[in-house]
Amino acid sequence: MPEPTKPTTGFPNPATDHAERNLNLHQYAVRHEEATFFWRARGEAMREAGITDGDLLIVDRFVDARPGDVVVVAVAGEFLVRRWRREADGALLYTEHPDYPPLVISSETDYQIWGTVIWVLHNPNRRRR
Amino acid sequence: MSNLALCDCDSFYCSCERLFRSDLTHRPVVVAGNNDGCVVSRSKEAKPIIPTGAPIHEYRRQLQEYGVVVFSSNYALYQEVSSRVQSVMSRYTGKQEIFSIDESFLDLSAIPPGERAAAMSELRGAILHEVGIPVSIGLAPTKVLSKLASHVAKSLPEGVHGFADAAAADDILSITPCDEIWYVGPARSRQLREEMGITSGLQLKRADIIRIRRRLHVPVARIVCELRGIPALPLHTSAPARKEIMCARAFGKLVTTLADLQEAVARYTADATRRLLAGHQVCGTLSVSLMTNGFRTDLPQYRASCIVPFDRPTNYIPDLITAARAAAAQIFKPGISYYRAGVMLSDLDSDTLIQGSLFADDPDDKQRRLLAVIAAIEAKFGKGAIYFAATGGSSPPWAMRQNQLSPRYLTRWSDLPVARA
Repeated sequence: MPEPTKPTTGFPNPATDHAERNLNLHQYAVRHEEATFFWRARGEAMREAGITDGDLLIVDRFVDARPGDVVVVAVAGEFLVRRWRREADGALLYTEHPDYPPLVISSETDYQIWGTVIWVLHNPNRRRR
Repeated sequence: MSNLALCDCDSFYCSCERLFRSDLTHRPVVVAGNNDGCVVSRSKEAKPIIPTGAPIHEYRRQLQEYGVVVFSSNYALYQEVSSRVQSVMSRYTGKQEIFSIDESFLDLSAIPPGERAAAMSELRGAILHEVGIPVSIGLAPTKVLSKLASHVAKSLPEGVHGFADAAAADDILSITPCDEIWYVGPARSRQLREEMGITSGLQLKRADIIRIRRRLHVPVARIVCELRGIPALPLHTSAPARKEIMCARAFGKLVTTLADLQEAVARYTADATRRLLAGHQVCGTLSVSLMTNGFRTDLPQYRASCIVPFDRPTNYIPDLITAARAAAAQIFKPGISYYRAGVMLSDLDSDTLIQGSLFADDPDDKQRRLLAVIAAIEAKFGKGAIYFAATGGSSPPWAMRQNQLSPRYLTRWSDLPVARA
């Protein structure tokens, strides 16, 4: 990138010695570079967890999901975003919307956690970039 | 002592395609190469159905019958997944040779010998857990033996296999034909069989090395050393400086006009120059070649090439494109249906040799600034955000056929994988 034009006369910039790097959102949100993937959420079933249609999900595969975490999970050939809880033999995948019931999974082999959602990037003004 | 490991991704392209398609977990998957022509990667389930390298169009019936899912090569996806895999590997070794997009040799000498196998199991788990790609790892004292060990590893559920020393590989070598040993290949193994009566890997290992060197030259003698556990192929931890850069591709459909040909060679020139710039190199010569499809005996056949030398070595894309277009015009013959074109940059040199001019208004400086601006735009907005009009738009008529291309999940915001909320 081209350097911004520097003034050639006038007072020296008193902030020069205190300059720090600009804040970098990627650095803040991504802790495990190789294991972090961006996903798009589609649908409203997780609305009360702060995830709405079109939101960007930051998913970390390094982080092991703990019961109650929001995860990306593969069920019957499809990827879902759900709040996950392990049951005696299987799992419960909770939605966060009164109209959508939780999904009961009766066997450990019927679902696979793909990764843990660690951040959600949400546009509050409903305008797409 | 097994101080070397080969880490090999299982059915790499297919594994990348499956990463964001959980519906394909147990289905047979294949990936086709350029122009959707031949099979370049097969999942475990697809291996009994179609041989590697087979032309897709000859197997349509079988593919359909077994419900095989066919993808075009999504190089943008594979490259990004590959660099994540390599990056996980680099945590386990200080010295790593990236041999290909899906294979790396790791120097394990920094890990105590008794802990190496366990460390490689851990690495395999880390790559699967973090990146989602299955790998097989072979440990051995040499490259050729570690490749063999990785083949053994592929058939084991734990995915890791080691030969503590060269003798440990003897049982496997006795049932391994020569052409399955790394670097030997079909031509040399035929020669070994016909001239020396050698068919198995174990026979090759025990062969008279002087005779081998005399009859089949040094490369095969090196393999014999490696089979005996004596390293003869060193680890290359940095890519050797390239001597030439080639970009040659068959067209999606036959090309008949000079305008289309020039657009294609301009695009290939831009792609080749991108690699030239990435390696901080300049080139002294550009050559363009054109050819027809030799299998289309119903059409007139023609092939030609044209070499353009430069007064001064360059990496300036506009000059290179101009040269390539002029070269194409010189060898173009009307009434011919062209099948393939290629652009080669040669006489490569380091660009530091032409940098550092004394004069501020040096034209080279202006050119460097233009290249820097293009590079910055591509870095920020992605490849294709800016291009030379001479290289054609986003889908020119001659473009490679990629009918089954999956989304560029990792490199485009518009292509992110979708999870239903």
